[in-house]
Amino acid sequence: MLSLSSNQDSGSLLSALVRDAFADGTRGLFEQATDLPVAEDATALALTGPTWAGVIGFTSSEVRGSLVVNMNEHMVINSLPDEIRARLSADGEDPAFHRTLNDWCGEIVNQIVGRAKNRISGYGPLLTMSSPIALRASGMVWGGSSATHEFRQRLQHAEGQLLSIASVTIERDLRVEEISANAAASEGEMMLF
Amino acid sequence: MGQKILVVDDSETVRQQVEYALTQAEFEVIHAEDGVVGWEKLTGNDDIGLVICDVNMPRMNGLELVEKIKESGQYDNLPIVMLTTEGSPQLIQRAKKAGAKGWVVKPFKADLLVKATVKILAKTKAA
Repeated sequence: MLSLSSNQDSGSLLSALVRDAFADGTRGLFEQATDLPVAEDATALALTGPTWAGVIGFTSSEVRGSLVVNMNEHMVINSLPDEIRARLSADGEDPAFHRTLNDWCGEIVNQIVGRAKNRISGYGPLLTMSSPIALRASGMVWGGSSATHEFRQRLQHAEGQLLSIASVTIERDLRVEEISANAAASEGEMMLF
Repeated sequence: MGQKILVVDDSETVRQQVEYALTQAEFEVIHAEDGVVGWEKLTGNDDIGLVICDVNMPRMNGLELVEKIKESGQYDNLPIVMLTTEGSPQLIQRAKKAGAKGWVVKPFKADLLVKATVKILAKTKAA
């Protein structure tokens, strides 16, 4: 259930919260994974050349939709954990190469939606996530969604580009406030019981 | 070779990442890609010392696996650590209630995961 703001001047619009949760989650994950600063780049709406995409769906009573994260191959490779990248086949046609990149694309989108879910849950909505799917193709085009909101983000660093598209339906775009008791554990956090 | 750890995660890359961290610390690692296979591996290996388990997985998710392990009554001293993107207090409480001994939010630092594994195994041995 949404934690509604007590007046018109406080809190955030739910749509802004969702937009920021996905944008910050994507940027934060890639800066951490690549150990390189990534920059926002709004100059192009599609990536060129061979690209990979991870897709995941999410739903709750207040917010539902999907996230597509489309990356060029260098971006995927550079975001792999060091020990996995060191053992990656150099042959781009090797099935093991494809399997690793495919799996990692799914995990990337899973971790981004996980970050966004944890942030949004602090305001009430608890998203249920689907399993991710991933695919490789050239000239991917995403669009035509009937969602009420679409949040696009294009990131770039020295080794690659990424385009993320969150298509989100929000029935009632109300002002919401954080519930301290709902604060989620953040990435990297460890709790022993 | 150290104790045998069962790693349950639907991402092969994450399983490899965890295996690399644990084998560097001389643990033996076996894998499962979801809760169903995780249960099969657990019941088919009587020397598993600890389970590291994701939450969101197809067929049987990690919380369902932890609850199944608890309900079986056969693994009361088997420690389970959840390794997941999830961080909501409700899910953490559910895992704790089912007997999980730890919760780590991805992406994880290898040294912290190894330290947690060593600490939980030592605590279990002393109990």
